[in-house]
Amino acid sequence: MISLLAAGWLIDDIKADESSAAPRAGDDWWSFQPLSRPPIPPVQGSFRVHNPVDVFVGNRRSAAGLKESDPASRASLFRRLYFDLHGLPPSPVDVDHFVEDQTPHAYERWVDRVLAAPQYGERWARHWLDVARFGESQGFERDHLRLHSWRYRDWVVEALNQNLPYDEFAQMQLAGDVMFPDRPQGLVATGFLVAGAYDIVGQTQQSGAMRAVVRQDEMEDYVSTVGQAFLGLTVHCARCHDHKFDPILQREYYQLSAALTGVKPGDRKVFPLTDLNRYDARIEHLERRLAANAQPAIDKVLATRRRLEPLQSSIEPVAEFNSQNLKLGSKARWDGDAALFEKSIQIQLQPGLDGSDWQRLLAFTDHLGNPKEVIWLGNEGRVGLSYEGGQRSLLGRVDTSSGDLAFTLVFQEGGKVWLFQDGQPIGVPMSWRSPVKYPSDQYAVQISEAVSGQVKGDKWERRFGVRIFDAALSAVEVATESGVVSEYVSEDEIRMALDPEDKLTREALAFERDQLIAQRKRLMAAEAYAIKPRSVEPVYLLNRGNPATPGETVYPGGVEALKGVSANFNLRSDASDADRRTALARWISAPTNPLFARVIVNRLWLHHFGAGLVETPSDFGFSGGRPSHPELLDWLASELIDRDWDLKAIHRLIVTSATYRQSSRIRPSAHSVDADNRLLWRMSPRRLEAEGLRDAILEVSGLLNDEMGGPGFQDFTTYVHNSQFYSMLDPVGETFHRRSLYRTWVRSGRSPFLDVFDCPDPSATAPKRAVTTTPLQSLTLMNHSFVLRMSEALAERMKNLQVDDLSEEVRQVYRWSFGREPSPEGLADAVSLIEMHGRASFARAIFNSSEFLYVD
Amino acid sequence: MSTDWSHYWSSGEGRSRRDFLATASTGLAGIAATRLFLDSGSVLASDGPAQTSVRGPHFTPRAKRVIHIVLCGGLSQVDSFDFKPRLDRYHGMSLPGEKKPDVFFGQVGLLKRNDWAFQQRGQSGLWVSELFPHLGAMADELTVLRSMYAETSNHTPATFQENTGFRLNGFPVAGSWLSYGLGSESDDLPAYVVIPDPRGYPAGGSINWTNGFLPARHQGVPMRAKGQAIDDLFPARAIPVGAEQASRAYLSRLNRRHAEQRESEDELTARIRSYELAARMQITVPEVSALARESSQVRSLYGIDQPVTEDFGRGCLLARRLLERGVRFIQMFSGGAFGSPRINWDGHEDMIRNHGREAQRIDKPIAGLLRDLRDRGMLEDTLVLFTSEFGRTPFAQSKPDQVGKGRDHNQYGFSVWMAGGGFKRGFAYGATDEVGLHAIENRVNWYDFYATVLHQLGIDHEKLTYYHNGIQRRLTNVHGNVIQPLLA
Repeated sequence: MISLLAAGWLIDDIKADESSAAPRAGDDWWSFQPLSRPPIPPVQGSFRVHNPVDVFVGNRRSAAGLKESDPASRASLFRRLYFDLHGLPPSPVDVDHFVEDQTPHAYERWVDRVLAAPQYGERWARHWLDVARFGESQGFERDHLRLHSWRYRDWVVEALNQNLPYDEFAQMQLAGDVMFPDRPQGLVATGFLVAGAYDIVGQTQQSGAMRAVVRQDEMEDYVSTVGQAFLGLTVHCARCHDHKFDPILQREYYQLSAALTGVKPGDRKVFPLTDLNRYDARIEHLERRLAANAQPAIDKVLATRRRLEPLQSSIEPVAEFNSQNLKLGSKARWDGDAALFEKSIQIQLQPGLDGSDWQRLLAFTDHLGNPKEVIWLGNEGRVGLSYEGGQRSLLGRVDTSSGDLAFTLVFQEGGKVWLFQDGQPIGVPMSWRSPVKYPSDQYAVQISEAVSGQVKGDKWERRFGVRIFDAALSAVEVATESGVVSEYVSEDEIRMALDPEDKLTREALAFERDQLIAQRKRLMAAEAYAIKPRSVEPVYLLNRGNPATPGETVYPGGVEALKGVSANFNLRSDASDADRRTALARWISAPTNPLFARVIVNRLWLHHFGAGLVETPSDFGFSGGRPSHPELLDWLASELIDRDWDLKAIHRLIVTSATYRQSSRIRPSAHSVDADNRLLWRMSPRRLEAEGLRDAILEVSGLLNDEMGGPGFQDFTTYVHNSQFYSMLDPVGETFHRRSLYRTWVRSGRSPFLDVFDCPDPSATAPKRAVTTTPLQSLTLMNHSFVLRMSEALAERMKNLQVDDLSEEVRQVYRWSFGREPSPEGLADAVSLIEMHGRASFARAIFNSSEFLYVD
Repeated sequence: MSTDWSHYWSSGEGRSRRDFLATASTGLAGIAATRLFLDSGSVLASDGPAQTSVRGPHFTPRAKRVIHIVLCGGLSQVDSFDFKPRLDRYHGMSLPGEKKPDVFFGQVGLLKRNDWAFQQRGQSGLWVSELFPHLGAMADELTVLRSMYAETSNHTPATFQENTGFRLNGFPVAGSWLSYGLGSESDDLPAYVVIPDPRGYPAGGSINWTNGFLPARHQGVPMRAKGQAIDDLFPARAIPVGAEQASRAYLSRLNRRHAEQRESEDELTARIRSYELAARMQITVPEVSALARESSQVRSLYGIDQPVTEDFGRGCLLARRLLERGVRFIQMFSGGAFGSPRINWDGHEDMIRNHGREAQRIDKPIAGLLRDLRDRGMLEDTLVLFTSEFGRTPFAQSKPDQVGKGRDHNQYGFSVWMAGGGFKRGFAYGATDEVGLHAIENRVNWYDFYATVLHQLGIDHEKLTYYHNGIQRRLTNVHGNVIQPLLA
C-alpha cells in the first residue's frame, strides 16, 4: 500500500505539472533557462551505483517507493548492448568470451570495443537520418531519384564513428561548406538541410503567386527541421502568427528563415575518395557467372541457327541509296507513308578516310533542311552520333583494315543504339535518346557531301551504299542482311533458350550486375546532393504567412526567449549566405545555448531506453513532455559540454550505468504503479526496428554483406516518364544483402517489408518511431519471399556446419539468434519439427519468434 | 477464453481510452494493465503527456463508413455537374475582364462550351451531363457541391490537400484519421482499405494512403479486386500443408514458452494473438474478395460483364463487400500517375477523348454501387464521396485566339459530390460564376468538406487530434466549418 500511495503522489506530481500551469509557456519555461551543472546528490536509498546516472535515477525511484531490478544476466546484457549500439546480434564466440570473463571491468572494456566498431556509426546514423527526414528522391509529383544523396548518409556514419564533437557535427550540417572550406566533407554534410522533399513542379509553375507560396513551404521545411533537430523548438508553428504555446514570435520565425534564405538544393562536385576495386571485382564475378549461365543456351541457339536455311532475307528496306541513284549532298525520301521510329541503317563505304578528324556521313533532315540526327565517321573507324547540333557521342569503332567498310546501326525503342560489323555487334549498345519519330512527309535522308576523300591530293567521290529499314533488326537479321551467319546470340535469345530456373538465375544476376554498374557510375560522378546556395533576397514578415501580404523587413536572427545566447546575429540585410548560416550555426551550437546539449543527450537516452527523459524528443516546448528527471537531463547535458561534446562518452556513461544493466523482467508490484517505467525500475524490453529486424535475419542466415558506404542498393525497378516510377521488388543477390541503412530511400518507393514494421515515411521527420503489433506483420514475416529465402539460407548454413547432429545444429541457431542455449524442452521440440518438416520450417519459425524480435 | 482482438485495427486505442476511464475508479493496477495491454504505439504510451485528444464518436453519427472515390487529374466541372448555359453562348469568345487568369500552364485560350450536353435528371431535376448517363439516373441520391476551391493547381500538392488537408508530404490521409478515430468494426479486416486503379498507382504511390505521423497500423492497406487481394497473404513459395501447420504450431509453442518466462508482458501475448488473427485473415480476405459469389445480376449491375467497366466495377463490388464486413474507410482511385499514355482525368490535350474514356470506365460501376447500397439499405449510413483535386478551366488550353480541345487545371472553382449518410439528396449547393471559373456563392474548401464529413460520422473535427512536432494536428488544420445546409 505504501508504494501505491507513493505512486499516487508521483502521478499527481506529473499531472499537476501538466494541468495547473499557465496555458502556454512564458520566458521562464524550463528548457529555455541556462544550463547549470546540478551537483550530484547524496544517495538516498539502497541501490547499485556505477556512476552518477544511477544516483539521479535511484533517488527518484526510491522516493516513489520503488526498488531497482536485479542485474540482467550477462548474456542478456550483451545481446542488449549489441542491438543497442550495433543494431545486430553479437557473435556467439563473443558472448562466450564475455560471459566467461570474470576480470574486473570486463563489461566496460567490451563497451569500449563495441563503441569503437564501425557498426556503431551505421546503427546510430539511422536514428539521426530519421530526424533529418532523409529521403533519396524529390517527392511530390516527379519524385526523381537523387543519385548523390547517399554521400550525406555516409558522412553521418563516418562522423559518428570518428566521434566528431557534437557541436561540429551540427555546424557541418548547417554551414560545413562555408565554415570548414578546407574539408571536402563540409559540403557533403549540408545534405542535412536539403534532405527533405522538394516540389520541383511547384517551384517552376507558371503562376508567380503560387511559386512564392511553394518557396515559403520550402523555407518552412528548412526552419522546421533545423529548429526541431537541434533545439527541440517547433519554430514552424510561428509561420502565420506568434507561437500559440511557446515564447516564439512570428518575427523570429522569419529571422531564422532569413538566416536560411540562401539555401537551395542541388548536386555539387566533390572530391572523389573511393576505391572502385570491390565494385569491379564483383561485377567481373557476375559477368563470369552470366557467361557460364549463358553458354548452354548459346550452343543450343547456334546449333539451331546453323541447321536452318541460311541467309534468306525477308525484310525489305524502306529505302536503298547508292552512288548510282543518289548524288552526294542531295536529299532523298523513303518509301511508304509510315513514320520511321525504330530503325536500322546499313552503310557500305569505300575505304579511304584519313587526315581530317570527323566527317558527317548521313543526316536525317527536317522539312527546312536542318539536320536532326547525324551519323559521323571519324579516323580509325570511329562511328559517332549527334542530335540537333548537340555533342557528338562515340558509338564505337569499326574495323577498317579490310576492304569496304560495312556496318549497321540499329536504333531500338527505349534508347539503345547498336553498332554491327559483318553481322557481329561491336561492344555494348550505347544509351541514346529513344528513337525520334520521322514522318516520311516531313523528313528526308541526306548523304553528306563530306563523304569524299582526299588521297594523296586527289579528291574523289567515295562509293557508298545505304539501306534503311523501318525496324530495329535483330542480330540475326543484321547478319542475314550482311550476308553472314551471325555468331551473335542476343540476350533475348539466350533467355528464351534457357530452362526456367536458369532463366530466373540469369535475371537475378543481370539485375545485380546492372545495379552495380549504376552504383559504380554514381560513385565516379563524385557529386553530392547538398546545398547549392542562391543569392540572398530580402526577407519580410508575411502577414498570416501569406507571401502576397509582406510586412516589415526581417534580418537574420534567433529566438529571444533562449537565455544565454543573443538572438541578434548583428548582420546587415545584405549579408551573404555564408555569413548568415555561419551565424546561425554558431548561435545554435553555442555551449551557452540552453537547448542544444539538452536535446541531443535526450535523443541518446531515448534510443538506449526506448523513451526519452523528455518524451517528445523534438519538442522541448510547452506542448511537449516534461522531463521525468530534470536534474539528470541537465547533468548529462553539462557532462557532454565539459567533455568537449564527446557523444561516445555519454553513450558510455549510459550503458555502463546500473540503471541500464537492470533485468527487463516485470515485477508486478512496480508494474502496477509505473507501467510505463518512467522511473526506470527495470529495463524496458524493446522490439527490433524494421531495419534491425531485416539486418538480424540476414546476419543469422549467414548472408549479411557488411560492406560499408557507397551508393545504396535499389529494391525496385524504376523508369522516368516526366515523373519517376518505382516498382518494388525483392531482389536476390549479395549486393542486396547489405544492411538496410544502405537501401535507396525513395519517397514513393517505400519498402512494404520495412513499412509494416513501422519504418517511417521519409517525407516527415520522425524523432521517435511508433511500435505496433498487427496481423499484417505476422503475414509478412511468415510469407514474404525474403523471409522464406532467408529461412532456406539458414537451413543451408545449419547443414554446412557438418556436425551430423540436429541437436547441435539447433544449439547453434539458438546461439546465433537468441544468444543463449536452448532448454531441453526447446531443443527436443525443434529437433522433432526438423525431422518431420526440414530445417527451413524451423528457420522460418525462428525468424517469426518473439525472442528474435524482442530484446530483453 | 475468447478475446476480441479488433483493437489491432485501431479501435483498440479508442477502447483503451474508455477502458482507462472505466478502470480508473477501480484501481491503479487496472490502469497499468490496460495501458500495456495495447502495444506501445498506442496514443497513451507514445504521445507524451500533452495528449488531449478525445477520439470519436463525439455525438450520434449519421454515417458509419465511407467510400471515397478519388478522380486523379482533375474532373471538368463544366462538363459534368456544373451546368453553365452561358458558356455555350460565349463559346469562342475571350474571357471577360482584363486580368488574365493565373493558370498552371499559362495558356488561356478562348472560352469553350461543354462537350457533353446537360439534362435535368430524376425527380430532383439535378443537372448532370451526358458524360455520366448512369450516374445521372441516380441524381436523386447525390448532393453536389458546385463551389469548391483549392489552394493550388499543381496536381500532387492539390491531391495531398484533397486527401490530407495539407499541401505537403507527411500528413495522414482522411482514411488514416478515421482508422485512428473510429477504428474498424471488423476484427479481421483493416479499418482502411485502398483499391488503386489496376492501370497504375496514382502519382506518389503509397504516399496517397500514408499514415503520415499516425501509427503505422492506420496506413491504408491496398487490395486488388482481381488475383490475390493483398500481398503476403500466403507464402511466396509453395509450402506443404503439413509443414505449414507444423511450423505454425511450433512457433506458437516457442512464443508461449518465451512469454511464460516474461509474465505480464502483454505485448508478447498480443503478438501471439496477432498470428491467430493473421490466420483468420487468410480465410476472411479470400472470402470477401470472391466476387464470383455474387449473382450475375449484381455483377452486371456493376458492369463487371463488360470489358470497359470491368476494372472499376470489380473495385466497387469489392468495396461494398468490405463495407458489409465492417471496414471503415475505402479509398478508390480512378486514374493513375502522370505518365504517358495518360491514364487519368488530366485532359490537357483533348477533353472528349480523355474524359470520355475515363467516365465510361466508372459511370456504370458507381451508379451500380449507389443503387446496390440503396437497395440493401446501406446508403442510409454509408457516405460515398466523389472528388477530384481540382477542376478544369472553362476556356481551352490553347493559344489566346483559339478554342483548343483541352482544358487546363482550375483551382478556383470545381464540383464534387457526396451521397448517403444523412445528406440532403438530389441537392446542389453553391455556385460558380457565369462561366464556371470561380466559386462565388457559398464557397467551400477541403477543410469545410472534411469538417462536414467528420460531422456526419459523429466526430467534431476540432477534437480529432494527434500530437506531432509541437502541434495537436487535425485533418482540418486550424480551419473548417460544418456546412449545415447540406445536412438532411
